[in-house]
Amino acid sequence: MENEYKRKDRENTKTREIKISNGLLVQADGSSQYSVGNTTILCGVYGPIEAKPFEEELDRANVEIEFRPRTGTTNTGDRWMEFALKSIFESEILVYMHPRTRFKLNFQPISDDGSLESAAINSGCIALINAGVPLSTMICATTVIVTTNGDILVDPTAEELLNNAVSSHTIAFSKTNIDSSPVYINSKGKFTREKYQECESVSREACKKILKFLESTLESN
Amino acid sequence: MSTDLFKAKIFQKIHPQEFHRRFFSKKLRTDGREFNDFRTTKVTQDGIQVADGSSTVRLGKTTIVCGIRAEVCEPKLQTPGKGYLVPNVKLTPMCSNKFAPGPPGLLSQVVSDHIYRLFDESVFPLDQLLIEKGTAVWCLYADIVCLNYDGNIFDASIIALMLALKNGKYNTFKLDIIYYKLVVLPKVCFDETSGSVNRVKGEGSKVTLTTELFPSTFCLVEGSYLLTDPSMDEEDLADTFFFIVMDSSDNIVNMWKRGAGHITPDQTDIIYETAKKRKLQLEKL
Repeated sequence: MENEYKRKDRENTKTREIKISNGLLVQADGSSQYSVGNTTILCGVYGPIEAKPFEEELDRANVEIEFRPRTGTTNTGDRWMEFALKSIFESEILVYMHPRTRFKLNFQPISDDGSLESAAINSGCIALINAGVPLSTMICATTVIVTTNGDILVDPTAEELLNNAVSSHTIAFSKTNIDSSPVYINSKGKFTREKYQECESVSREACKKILKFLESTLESN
Repeated sequence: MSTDLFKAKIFQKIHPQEFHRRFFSKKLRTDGREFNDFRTTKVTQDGIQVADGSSTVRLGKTTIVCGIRAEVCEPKLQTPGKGYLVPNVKLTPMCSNKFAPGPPGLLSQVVSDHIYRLFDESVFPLDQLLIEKGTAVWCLYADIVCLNYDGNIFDASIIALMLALKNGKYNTFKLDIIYYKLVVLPKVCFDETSGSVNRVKGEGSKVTLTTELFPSTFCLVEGSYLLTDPSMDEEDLADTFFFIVMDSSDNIVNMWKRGAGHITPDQTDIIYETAKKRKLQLEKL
């Protein structure tokens, strides 16, 4: 008989404590370290910089993402992450304002205790703001999981992800369209459409709170 | 007439967006499909005799060949009772001018990794590849080679791998000089004194999948035209992609939306309906 998992240290819809420190990297045009609980990721933004000759595009800027693993060399999983992050930031950055240039975003996870994908999205967004890059909107992401007994937990730890998740959903919303459809969805596991929609609304509420927090910290800086 | 066709072709080359837009505004696509139509899907199983399992999938012009080879190897220290399934998608310059020669590009790595994570233990249990705990397991190398690239590589490669595994003819087993041919994973035993894996008489075991996967891809062009199973031209125009995988029991296994566009609730309904229809289509293959 499998034990039903109940989260003890915080409410199901609550994220862990979020900490942001901007401008840690001196050489980069903008940077931010985002940590939620024990998950920490550092993002450095360079741009607009000169495009590589063979990647130069006449009417728009190129977005290049580099995701370095914490240990070892880059593997296909990191490449997958780069691909996903690229799709998000290409739509967030106003690429047509900077033709024939390039934006480079470097991500360096420092510790991974679950929800790394959403932490990466959030850190990238703050680093872009820190760099003063013109954006179409702010983007904010959360990860939620559905447990064996059907509970929806926001911002799962690595342990929760590994042992209790039937499905996990990383969902990103843009600030301007937070009440309509998400910008990015990555759902994995086994779930029905109804369950997904539940997750979407839970994660929307969580995103609203995170966005509020991000804005207040950015204003105070 | 032929000059008109020639003009149309020039138009397509010079201004692809406008060319496609004129079709889309009449609820049609350049290859004659409607928005929710998939391209004709043709499959052949077990076309490669030297492989242990193989399949060919054609999705319109997109052609994928998947070959599986089973080899004996050592398991990981953390998972002594589990074998490996290693999908490897190859997008060479042969299939499209989009891809450069040399080491695998970003897209092929992404597709490989996505497939690897999709075929996890809930779809393909790895303990069935066990020979001797901690010493020997089967490793299934799945090479997914694209012969012609015309969009929607995700769907095509997943269907190809699915069919190659389902077909499950694991019929070669090579160890030193002994060469055996079998229809399924050969029955082997582990010899403790010599520390080697030997083939023994008797029926081998078939590999099984817990569930089948039914992928469908959609893309959004100019924020309003939702296209099912996009071709390469349509992919180039699209800014939003929606990828959904269903399993045999009508659950969703994977959903991946990327890009800036907003998918309206009506479009979401269409996506789910079409994905369900696609499942029925694919079940008949």
